[in-house]
Amino acid sequence: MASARTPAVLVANIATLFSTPKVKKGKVTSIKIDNQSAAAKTIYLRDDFTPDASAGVTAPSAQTIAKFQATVGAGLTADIMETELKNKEFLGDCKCYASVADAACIVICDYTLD
Amino acid sequence: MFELMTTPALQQATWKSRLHGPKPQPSNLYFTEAWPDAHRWCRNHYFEIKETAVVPFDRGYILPGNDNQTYDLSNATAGLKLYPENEDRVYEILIGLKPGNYQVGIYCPGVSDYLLSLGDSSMYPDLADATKRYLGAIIPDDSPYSNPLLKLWAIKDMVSWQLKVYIHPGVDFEKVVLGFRVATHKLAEIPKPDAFTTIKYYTEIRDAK
Repeated sequence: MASARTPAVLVANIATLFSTPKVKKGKVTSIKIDNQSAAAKTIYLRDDFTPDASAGVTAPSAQTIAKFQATVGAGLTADIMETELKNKEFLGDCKCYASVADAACIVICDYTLD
Repeated sequence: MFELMTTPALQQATWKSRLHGPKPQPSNLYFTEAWPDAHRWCRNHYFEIKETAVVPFDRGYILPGNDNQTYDLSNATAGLKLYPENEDRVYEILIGLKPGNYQVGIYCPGVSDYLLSLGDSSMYPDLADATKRYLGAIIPDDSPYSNPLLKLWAIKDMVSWQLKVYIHPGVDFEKVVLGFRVATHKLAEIPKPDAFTTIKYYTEIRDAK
């Protein structure tokens, strides 16, 4: 089990929580969103990768796949556990961004690489 | 030779026990008469494995759903280069599959030359057919990554083993991880021993239907 954290950042400054090795799948096992800011925040996770060439797509383009979002009220902490995150696999880079950038809102992500 | 092991006793053993190697492991090999002239050094000959090294090599691919890609295991320019380069060598290749929504078909020597089919002339793997795309397919449960049961043998300049990976419909993308455990064997020719493993040419397996 590994862990990564980032403050809430806009998509323009998107944070990479982890990069999945080519021969593994990433699985997020828990997410804690500690929003000590003065306003609610929506946090997003997405999976960024470029597929390999296939018979049908010989020159594939980069993909960004939305995987998770949650809105957390001001002054609240949300704990999203494994049961709710089951089957959320990451094939490439696990990226995190927020509706509003705020250093007082922290995202902590636990994950495994299988 | 192609082998998909099914004996319960073998399934319970660790994958390393399924490999040949120097004595006291199973060490004697016989290449049948079906091997072509290009491989006369081994055709209808018996060998003992004198040295072995096991080389793990994982390959991962992200592919779209309801699509496929073929991977050549030979030393061809675009191949994965899992074949030996000397005539007194044989590579015993175990292939384990990490879980996922995909299947693997075995082809040899070309990308359309399926190895596994049934007796009726219409019963061959066909990815364009919603039913027959699953014929002869090996799924991750058949040869798990941590306990591989799919085995191929390769010698220098042998025709290409081809793995055709098909991603099932219903998923946007899937990551395929092929876990190769390549046992590289150095051989020495011997007289016919009492016990040996027979290495068949792919045509013998294909024609067994």
